[in-house]
Amino acid sequence: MARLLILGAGIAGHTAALHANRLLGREHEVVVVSPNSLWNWIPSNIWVGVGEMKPEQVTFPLKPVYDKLGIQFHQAKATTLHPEGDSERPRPYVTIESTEPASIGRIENIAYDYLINATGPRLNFEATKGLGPAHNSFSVCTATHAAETSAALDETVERMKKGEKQTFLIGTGHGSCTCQGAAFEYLFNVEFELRRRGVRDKARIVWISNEPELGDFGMGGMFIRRGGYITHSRIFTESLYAERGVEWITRAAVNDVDRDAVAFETLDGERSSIQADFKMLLPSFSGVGLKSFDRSGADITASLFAPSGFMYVDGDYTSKPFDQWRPSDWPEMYQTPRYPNIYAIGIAFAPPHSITRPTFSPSGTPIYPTPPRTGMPTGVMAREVAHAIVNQILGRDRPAKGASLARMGAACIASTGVSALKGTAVSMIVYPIVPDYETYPETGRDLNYTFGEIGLAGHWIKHLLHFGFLYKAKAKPFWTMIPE
Amino acid sequence: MEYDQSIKQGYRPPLPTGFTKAIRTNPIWQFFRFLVINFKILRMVRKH
Ligand SMILES: Cc1cc2nc3c(=O)[nH]c(=O)nc-3n(C[C@H](O)[C@H](O)[C@H](O)COP(=O)(O)OP(=O)(O)OC[C@H]3O[C@@H](n4cnc5c(N)ncnc54)[C@H](O)[C@@H]3O)c2cc1C
Repeated sequence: MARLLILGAGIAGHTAALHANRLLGREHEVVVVSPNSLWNWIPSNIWVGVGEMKPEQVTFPLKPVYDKLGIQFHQAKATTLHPEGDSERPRPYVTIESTEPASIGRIENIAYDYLINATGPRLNFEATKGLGPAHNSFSVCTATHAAETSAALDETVERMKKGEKQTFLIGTGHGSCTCQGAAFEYLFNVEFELRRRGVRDKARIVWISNEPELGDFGMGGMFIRRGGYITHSRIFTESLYAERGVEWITRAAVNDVDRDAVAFETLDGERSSIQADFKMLLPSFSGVGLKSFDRSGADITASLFAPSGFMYVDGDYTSKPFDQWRPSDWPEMYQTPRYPNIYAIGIAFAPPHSITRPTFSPSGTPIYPTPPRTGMPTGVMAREVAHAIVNQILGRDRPAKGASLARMGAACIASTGVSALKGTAVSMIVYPIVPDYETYPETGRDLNYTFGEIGLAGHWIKHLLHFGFLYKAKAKPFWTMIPE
Repeated sequence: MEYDQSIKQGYRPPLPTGFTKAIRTNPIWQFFRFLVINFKILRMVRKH
C-alpha cells in the first residue's frame, strides 16, 4: 500500500486529492493536511467583499467530503519536511502541527511515499508598512477578510449618503504583487455597487498597481484581434477605466499605508502619496515557510525552496536576461529535482521568472508583477500531477502528459458588476499563458485562441463557474464531467 | 507630493459608443455570446 500525502486543500491540493483518490481506489491512501477546516472558492470572495454573497456561500467544510470519499484529513499545518527520514525513521515524513480546536498545537509525523506541496501563498502583508486588515487597508484574499471589507464598504457608503466625499484606492500593495485580476474585479464591483447604492457621484475611485500598463495582469498583457486590428489589452482596459470614471496609477510600488494616505514609488523614481479613505490593496505572496531537513538533521531548506519560500521544481532557474527567456524554462511535471517523489503545484511552486519584463526604479525597487497562477492552470497541473503519481503507484508505463504554463491556455472571467441582467464581466482567454515567441513570433500567443470581450454573458459564465466549481469540489455525482 | 493623474495621462483612451454599451447587456445578443464564449473556452481546454 502506498501513501500520497497532500499538503494544502485549496484549488491545487483538493483537486489533486479528488483525482488521486478516484484513480487509486481503496488499496492506497490519500492523506490531506490543511490548517483550514473549510474549502473556499476564492474567486467569489470579491462578491463577499461587496456584500453580494456571504462567506458561507463561498466555503464548505472539507471533512464530510473527505469522510465520504475515504480520504484521511488532518486539520493541521505542515511545518517541516524530512524527505530522507531521519536516524530513527527510515521513511520520508512531514511534521504537522494541529490547528483543530480540540487538539491545537499537537505535533505529529506523517510518513509518505509521494508528497504534493500545495500550500499556496502566505499573504505577506508585513512586506509593506501599514498594509492589511490588521493595520490600515482591507483585503479580499480570504472569505473572512472579504466579509470585513464588505462591512467597511457599508460604513463608507453610509458616510457618502450623509454627503461626505470618499476616495477609494484599490489595487496592489507592493511592488512585487501578483493577482492583479482579483483587484481589478474588486475595483469594478465596488464601482458598480456605488452606482447601485446611488452614491457614485460622491466617490473618487483610483486604481494603483505595479503593472507596467493597464491590462498587463502579470502576463505581459495580451493581443487580440478586434475590429480589423491586432490590439493590446492595454487599449481595452484603459477604455473600460475611462468609461467607468476610474483613475489609474501604474508602475507603482506601495511602500507605506497610513490611515488616510498611501505612499508609493514609481518606476521613474518619483515618490508620491495619495489621500485615500477606503483602501483594498493586495499583499505580495511568499511561500508558507516550510523547512526541510536531511537524514542527518542538516537544514536543506535552501536546496528545496527559493528565497521567496516557493518550492523548486523541474523548471530552469538559471538567472538570465529577459530576451533569453524561453518557454522551456517553465516546469512540466512540477517534480522536485532532488527528490522525485515530491511535487509542488499551484501557487506553491517557484516560477522560473516573471512573465512580464522585470523593471526596477532608480533606487533598485523591483516594480513589476510576479506571474499569476490562476485557478484553471492550477487545477490542470493538479490533475496531471495526480495522474503521474497514480501511474507510478500502480506501476503503469504511461507517458506523463505534463502541464507547462507555456503549453497551456487559461480562461479568466473577471467580474465587473453583479446583476442578472445589468452585470458584466470581462471574458479573457490566453493561449499559451507564457508567451511563446518561437512558435508565435508576432505576439507570443495563438490569436486563434486568445480572446477578450466584456458583457453580460461573462457575468453569467462567472456565476455558473461559482456553482459548478463548488459542486465539483464537493465531489457530487459526475463531478469529473466539469473540466478544471 | 499628492499624485496628479492628469499629468501622467496625456491622451484620452477610446470610449465605447452607445450601441456597444447597449449590446453588452442585451440579453438576446448576450445569450448568443454566452454560447460563443463557452465554445471558445471548451476549444481551448481541449487543446491541452
Ligand atoms: C481574491 C482572489 C480572487 C481570485 N480570482 C480568481 C479568478 O477569478 N479566477 C482564477 O482563475 N483565479 C483567481 N484567483 C487565483 C486563485 O484563487 C488561485 O489560483 C488559487 O487559489 C491557487 O490555488 P492553490 O491551491 O495553489 O492555493 P490556495 O487556494 O491558497 O490553497 C492553499 C492551501 O494550503 C493550505 N496551507 C497553507 N499553509 C499550509 C501548511 N503549512 N500546511 C498545509 N497546508 C497549508 C491553505 O489552508 C489552503 O488550503 C483569485 C485569487 C484571489 C486572492
